[in-house]
Amino acid sequence: MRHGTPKFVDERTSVPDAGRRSMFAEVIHACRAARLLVIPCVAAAMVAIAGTPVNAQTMSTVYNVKLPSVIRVAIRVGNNPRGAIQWVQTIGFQQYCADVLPNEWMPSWDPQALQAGAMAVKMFAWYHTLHPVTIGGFTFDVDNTVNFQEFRPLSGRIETDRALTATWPYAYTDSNGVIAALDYRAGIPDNPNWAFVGSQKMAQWGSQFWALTGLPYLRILNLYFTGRTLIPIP
Amino acid sequence: MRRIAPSVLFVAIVEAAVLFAPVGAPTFADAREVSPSYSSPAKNPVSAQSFESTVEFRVADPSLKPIPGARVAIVGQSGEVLGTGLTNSVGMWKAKITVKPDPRFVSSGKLGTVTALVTATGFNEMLLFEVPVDQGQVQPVILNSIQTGQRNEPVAALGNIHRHAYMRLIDDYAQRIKLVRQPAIKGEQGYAPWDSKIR
Repeated sequence: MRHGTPKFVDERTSVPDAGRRSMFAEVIHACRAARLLVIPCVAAAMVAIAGTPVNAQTMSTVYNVKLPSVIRVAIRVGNNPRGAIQWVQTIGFQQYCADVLPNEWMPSWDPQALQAGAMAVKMFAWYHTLHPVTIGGFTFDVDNTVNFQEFRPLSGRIETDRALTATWPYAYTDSNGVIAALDYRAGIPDNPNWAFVGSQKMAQWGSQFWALTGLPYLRILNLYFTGRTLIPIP
Repeated sequence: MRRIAPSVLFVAIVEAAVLFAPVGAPTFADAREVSPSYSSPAKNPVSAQSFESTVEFRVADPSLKPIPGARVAIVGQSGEVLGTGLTNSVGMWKAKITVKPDPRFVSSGKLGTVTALVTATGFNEMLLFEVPVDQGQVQPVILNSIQTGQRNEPVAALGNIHRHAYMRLIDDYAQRIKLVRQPAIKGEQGYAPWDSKIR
């Protein structure tokens, strides 16, 4: 994405609990304005939030959650999945995807395989921005290793950027638009990877195999992930 | 009836024991790491002829701010300097490199490797081993800033070899030395690491 390649522009933000956080802030502000003590103020805010009618069944969908603008990446030493976390870096969401795809899918692969990979990388990351974790005192969405997706800054390639650009306006979800991770594994080189077909996990080498047989990326995705469809992101 | 000398009988028994020893029984030879009898993978023979590719070096500081004017020097497989260049205003230098395919990566097609030495004013040196040379290859380089009162010595790291390339290298050599895979990992259908056992 850097160094002269077209840069994604995305000013949209994704804060899943934005409404509730906003309410919290408003209660604090109101209490301060009324010169109340902070502790009762916080308690009041918590009661207010607890009393908010929240449907526990509400799912995050492409219709109620915007595409993230940033993602928090835990940086592990040497991209080692068992390495210590050094720090957490906040990165533009599209930049993150651009610096993941060439490390997960080989940039020399067929464009349709790269597009299938682009969709998987984006949906996987989107899901994890909605499900952050805390490890060793660090709160983050993903790390820079194959625990999540291999992320290497400044590694974006033209071929993989093209695949991201082509698929960026779309999400690949169930008919309700529920944001779910599209998981994947390396798979067996030069092989259809039948074991993954219908497994809800895509084989990276399988995507390349099927792309070389002429399958477009959506049909490749459909092979591995059932019950999902391509929908435009509102 | 002719009698067999005891010494002849003993030699015959030893030879039979060696001949019919169970395959795979541990011997001292198993401890050796390399044996001329190991096969080499000839599935995808790659021509040893040199080829030219472009590698794009992207040099930045730890905050990912590009470093213009950084010097990149390329050292070839025989220790020769293949060329040097300076990064442009966005911290990039495209190097045209002519190399022979690295035979370790035979299954990944034509992939060469070089060493890169990167220097820049105000930064510590970086030495990158095993920089892959492949068409359109990108090699990020993050330089550490010089810090007063610190040792400011060079840093060494590995080049940006793709996961799939080194996974294939492992598979190739594991098959050559006849390793067996570990049992499948519960809940993981994708990959089982190779074991220390030899079949």
